[in-house]
Amino acid sequence: MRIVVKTAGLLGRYLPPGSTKNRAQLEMPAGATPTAVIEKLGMPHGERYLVALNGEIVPQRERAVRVLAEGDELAIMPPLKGG
Amino acid sequence: MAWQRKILRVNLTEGTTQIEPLNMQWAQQYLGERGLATKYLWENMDPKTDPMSPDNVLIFATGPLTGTMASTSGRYAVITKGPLTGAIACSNSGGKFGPELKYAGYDLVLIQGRAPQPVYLLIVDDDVTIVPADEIWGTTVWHTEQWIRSRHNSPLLKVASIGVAGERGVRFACIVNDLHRAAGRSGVGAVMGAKHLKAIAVRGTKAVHVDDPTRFMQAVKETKAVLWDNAGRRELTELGTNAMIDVMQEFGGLPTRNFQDVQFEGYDKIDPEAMRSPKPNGHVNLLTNKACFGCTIACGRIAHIDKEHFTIVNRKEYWHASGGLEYETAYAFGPVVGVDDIDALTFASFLMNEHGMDPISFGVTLAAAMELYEKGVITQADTDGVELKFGNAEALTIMAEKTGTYQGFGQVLGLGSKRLCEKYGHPELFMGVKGQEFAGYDSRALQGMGLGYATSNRGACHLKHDVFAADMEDQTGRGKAKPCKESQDLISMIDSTGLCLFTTCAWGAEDFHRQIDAACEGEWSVQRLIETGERIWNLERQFNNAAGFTAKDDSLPKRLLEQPAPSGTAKGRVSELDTMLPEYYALRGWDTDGVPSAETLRRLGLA
Repeated sequence: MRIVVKTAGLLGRYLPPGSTKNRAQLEMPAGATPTAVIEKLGMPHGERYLVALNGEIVPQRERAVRVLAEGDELAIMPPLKGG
Repeated sequence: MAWQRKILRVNLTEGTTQIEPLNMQWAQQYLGERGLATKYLWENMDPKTDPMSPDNVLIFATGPLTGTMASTSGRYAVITKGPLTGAIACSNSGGKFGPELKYAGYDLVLIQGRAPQPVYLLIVDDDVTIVPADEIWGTTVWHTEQWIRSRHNSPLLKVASIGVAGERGVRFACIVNDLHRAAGRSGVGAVMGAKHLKAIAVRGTKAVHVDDPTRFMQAVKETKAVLWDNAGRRELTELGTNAMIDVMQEFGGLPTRNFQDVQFEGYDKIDPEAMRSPKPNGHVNLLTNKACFGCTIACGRIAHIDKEHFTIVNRKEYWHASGGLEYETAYAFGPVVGVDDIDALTFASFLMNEHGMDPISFGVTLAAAMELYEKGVITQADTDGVELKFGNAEALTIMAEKTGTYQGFGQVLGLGSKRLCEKYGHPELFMGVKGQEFAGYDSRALQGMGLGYATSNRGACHLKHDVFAADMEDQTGRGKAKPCKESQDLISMIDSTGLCLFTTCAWGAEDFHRQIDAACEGEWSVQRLIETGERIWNLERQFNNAAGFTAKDDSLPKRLLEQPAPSGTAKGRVSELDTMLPEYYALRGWDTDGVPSAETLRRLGLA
């Protein structure tokens, strides 16, 4: 299945080559979860990312169990604060 | 040790200066900088004092670690009663001014009275002079810094000064040091102006001694390594704080058009990628990053404006590099006023530094004026003929300049948003708390941020608590009171060390503890440091309560409490302050009116 991944900041470096504006289309197997996407992209573990699926927050406890669907839009944002 | 054990007391009415010993008992209870200066303020003035009167006290304070080899040790704070809010003001700045003040031998400078004529204060170690400022009164911050160094033939002088905004009482005037670092919020620059004090110039040649040099050096080495290896630090170094704009856009917490919206369609024209990308004519906004004194992070941005842009096309005086966009300036000149022209935003940022104004308060005040204009409450007859519509980049830069130079409608904007909205009969359009405008986070999407805004002792502020992690996990108000209270206490302590809050991307309480305990005499445990922070928070609250603030002031605008977020991850939500606030008061040991109980005051040594 194909999903859209969006990110920001330095996490953009983990998107596939050719991605623009911190946005990429990604081929994932059926049953994939947000955690599986983070692993596939090679984003560092242990970071407290902000994860949103189709504009809805996915809490940490659900990231390994929430199943993605064709055409989903998954945002994985860096753990920034302040500013 | 770490403290210089001296304060400088200046009475501008009498024209006197006096060096006094630091009260070391207070230093042991309040640490330094924000905390220690709050204690000195409390003991030296009546909280009911008019902020613009000679009886207001203005304190420049360093922390015990300011000027040491610890990372980010360039911080100082300005503590006074704020003219924007009527509450305690606590504005923090970096650059190099703070360490220089410490090297001159002072933990803090306490300024009272009002000079009969404009003056500046010249401090060269123990030699302190009050100097006439007639030749620089009415000039900009940038001119003042250069003029003072030239006048004294001393390029190493560090200068903190105000522009015309501060001289003329713009309620959100700030104090700028090192050209583009600022003690920005609550109008501390207007207090300086009311005292007829144009600048403080300082040169110091003394050492800062620490209690246990070997242990301190080891602690500094190890905490620097922790900071260097941290992903959040890398984001700040490479992208600056403006990396947040993409996150808030996605989250739906990016206040837009005076908080009518929470996402901004033009965000990617002003984000870090836009700052680094060439325009069609080849111009690139961002030149480099810049560090304050002793900083491992270097989050500052240095930028320049396209010479072909309408703002500076015939104004060569702005063709140089200067402080570029940070998240709060990008928000305050971008989404909240609906503008997406990166050169206009950068020019407005330059003007804030040149004239000495807080960009957050200016931008949100302009946003309120734009909403009043679009609703037909004010017209071009009020705005000097300027079409004050959201998205008008020219209006942004014209009004920034008018406010900075105190001309025309800029004088009205200089009142700040609360007074401006009241003047035109629409107080509900003021977006802030206790008279101070919101930073770039919408409290319908970030519930803990809303509680922090409502309870911040200096009025709406995003830097006095840290509930980001909890807010990005759960968009209800559940469980937000505890991290809000605990982070307020922690940050009150950090703000009193002389180090930068941004280190908390990597450091926890233990990292600060190691450095403080090695540098400062006395036994400092983590628990004692946190309790010190709690003491500081409660003393600030006591100051505000004595000044006339009550629980009614711990509130948010109706827009955030009643109008649901129109889009984003929090679509349909309003702030849940009504459920968070009672829980917060209980955790603080305050009664339902927000007054610290006798037991709380006794426990903290404040009774």
